[in-house]
Amino acid sequence: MNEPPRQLTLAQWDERHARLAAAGLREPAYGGRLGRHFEDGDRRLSRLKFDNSPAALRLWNFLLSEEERLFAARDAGKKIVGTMKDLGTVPVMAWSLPEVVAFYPDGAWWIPCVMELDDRLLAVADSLGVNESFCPVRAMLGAFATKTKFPTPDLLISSVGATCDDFSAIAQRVEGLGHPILWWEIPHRREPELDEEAVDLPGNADLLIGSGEKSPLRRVAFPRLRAPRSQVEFVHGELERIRAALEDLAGRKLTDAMLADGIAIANENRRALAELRRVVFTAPLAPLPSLELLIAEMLIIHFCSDRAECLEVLKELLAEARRRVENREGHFSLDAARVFWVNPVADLRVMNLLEACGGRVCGTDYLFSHALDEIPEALPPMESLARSALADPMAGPARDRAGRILAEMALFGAEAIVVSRIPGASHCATEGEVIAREARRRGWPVIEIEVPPVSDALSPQIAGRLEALVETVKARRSR
Amino acid sequence: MVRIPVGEVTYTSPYIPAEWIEAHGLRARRMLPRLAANDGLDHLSGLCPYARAFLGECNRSAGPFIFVTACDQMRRLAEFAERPAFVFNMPSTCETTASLRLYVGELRRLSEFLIDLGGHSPSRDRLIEIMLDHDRIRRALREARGAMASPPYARALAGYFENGQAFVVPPSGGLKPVGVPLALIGSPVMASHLDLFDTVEKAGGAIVLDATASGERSLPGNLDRRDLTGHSDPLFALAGLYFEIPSAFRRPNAGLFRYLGAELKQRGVRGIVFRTCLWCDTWRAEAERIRHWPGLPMVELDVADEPAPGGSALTRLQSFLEMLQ
Repeated sequence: MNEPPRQLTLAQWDERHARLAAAGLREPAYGGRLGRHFEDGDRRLSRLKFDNSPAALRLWNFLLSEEERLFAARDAGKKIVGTMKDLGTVPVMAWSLPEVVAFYPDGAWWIPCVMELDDRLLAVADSLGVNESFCPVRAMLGAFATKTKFPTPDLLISSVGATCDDFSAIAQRVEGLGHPILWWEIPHRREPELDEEAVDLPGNADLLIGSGEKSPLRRVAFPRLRAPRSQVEFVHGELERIRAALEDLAGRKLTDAMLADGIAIANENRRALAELRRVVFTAPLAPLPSLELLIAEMLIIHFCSDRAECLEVLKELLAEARRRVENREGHFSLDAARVFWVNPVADLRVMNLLEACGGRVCGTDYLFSHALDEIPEALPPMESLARSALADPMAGPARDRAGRILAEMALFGAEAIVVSRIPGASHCATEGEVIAREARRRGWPVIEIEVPPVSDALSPQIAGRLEALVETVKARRSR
Repeated sequence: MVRIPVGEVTYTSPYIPAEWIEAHGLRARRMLPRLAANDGLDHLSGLCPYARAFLGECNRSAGPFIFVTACDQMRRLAEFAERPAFVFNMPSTCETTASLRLYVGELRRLSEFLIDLGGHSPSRDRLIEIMLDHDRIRRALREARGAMASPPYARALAGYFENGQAFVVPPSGGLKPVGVPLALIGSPVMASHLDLFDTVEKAGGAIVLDATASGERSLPGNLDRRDLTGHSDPLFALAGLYFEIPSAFRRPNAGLFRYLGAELKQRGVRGIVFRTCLWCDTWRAEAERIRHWPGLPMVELDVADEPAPGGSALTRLQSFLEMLQ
């Protein structure tokens, strides 16, 4: 079943699927041809290139079947919780209750891309006065208004405070449509004052890199992320309000023991993803393309509505990546420019475009690096979750985020940064400048591009900028 | 921290109590910023013009500035400040005691910043004295509102914010608002855009309710002197007043709609001028809701990087008012 790594079109994947099925490929219940998703309306798939491994097939099928999974959970009597904006913390709590399924309605922001605007979610948002001056997450408003893309949640929870204004404003409009929201405050993270107790947040680990054989071992120091004890306690209190709401919904206690179990399972998923990122980003040849890695990272924030299956999907991808590295197989060329990518793209096709331009992704910050870090297991679970929530890169200053990006660049051997602006997003006016300033201080090339949900019209300009970056990287190597 | 002798602390958010700064022996300056040409900020594309103007003012001045997290761009702009800057964490949630406690905690943290700047620890008596003083001025401003034309009233408010004084013109028949009664709702008005109130009058209207973040809506309520008796900390009374200021960014923002519902009715408003800065998501998202909710005609005005209200604003207002008359 294994073929040398290459990227396939949708039609080529369907042919390969037929061969795999005939050869006895075993798939989960949601498996099957990728082409059926296109036939169901996911038209963008016909413009993407996919990794040819069965592991990637499983990943895509897992992602594209989430809507069915959520409706099936509703039919099975599960309580559906829509968690919004915090990207990684509240779902860990919700999934600790067996009666509850949690997902991010925010994820609707990719529907216009995947369906090439046929979904009309953006048009509905327009009709509600939320036009293109807002981030594409406005598709979420259209999804709530049309009630077609996911089951209406039994409970909606949204973080607010140190979040982007687009999201907060759009979520408020969702509430105005008759969907009550439990708002919880995430304060702007700050350095402790001299007279305040400081608390370390997740993501502080210094890491040893290098195999010790061809590349020497060296330590990459991550910036120390801290917050005042008072902020951790405040967030802890906010999460207690969420715990009470979840208990009301589930009709049972959400004990510390249940939360500890939930954290352990979340960490198992996070460890698998961390290892997958390390293997892929540090390999001489990319064992998996950037698009599949982007999707894999996205799974982690709410497990794509199936926590156990999410782990299996990640493990299979990891096994495939390791196998390819051992066999010295991979995508693209050995001299592909190693790029660190900042922010998720509204149009998935742009990840393919980078690779077509001679680059590959070796490091990412898709707005939720706190969801990649393990949640401390040695602390009381609610405090651990509060620390994890406060480590959100969007809750603190952009220079904290830049610090981690630069540390990860060193860890993964990235050579340049692409800051992908999200159209209309309140944070994009300034964060790219802060990140670029820090990167240029250390000599890294940086470009900013802006990617709308369907970027075909802008493709030549985006490609031109990516090609220029790739050329710059290669020119620097020869100096 | 290095102590910088300073007499003045500048901010623009209504959630910073001037009383608190003055009680530290410093001058509170709530600024309505001006957008300057050649501010060196062109590279920050996608920046709200009001936030841009405030950062520009900060980087042209010598004194310390306070950036308030009520707006995401303001929160982030503190990283671009070339002067001592304090990031004040204003809670968005407003229905829990935890949020109010967070707000009080931020005021205490601000106190340390002010002391580091050369201020002194506020005494209870002095704070009460200043609170009463401000309350008196704000009551006078509120009483004068119905008796003054909107342009001088807007300038009286701006003057109060700027220096704590209100030069209220005594009520007289000739100064009463005339024209179609309108409400101004939306993003705060920059100092260089205060001519908007004259423009509205010129077009045949009168702003009888300024519900922007630079208008009456941003005034805290009247002080209840009973809150200052006994041994209670007057800071709690002060915080309680300012915390209640309604705004679009509060979650939920039902308080804003309660405020608007009451004031629009009481003032006999016949139309709404909804004015938002480009990239001000918080207000722009509410436009459609406000258009339909009170059932009043509404005209939308956009503010980009123009230094003063453009001619198109006058044209739009004239058309709007022709429809109302």
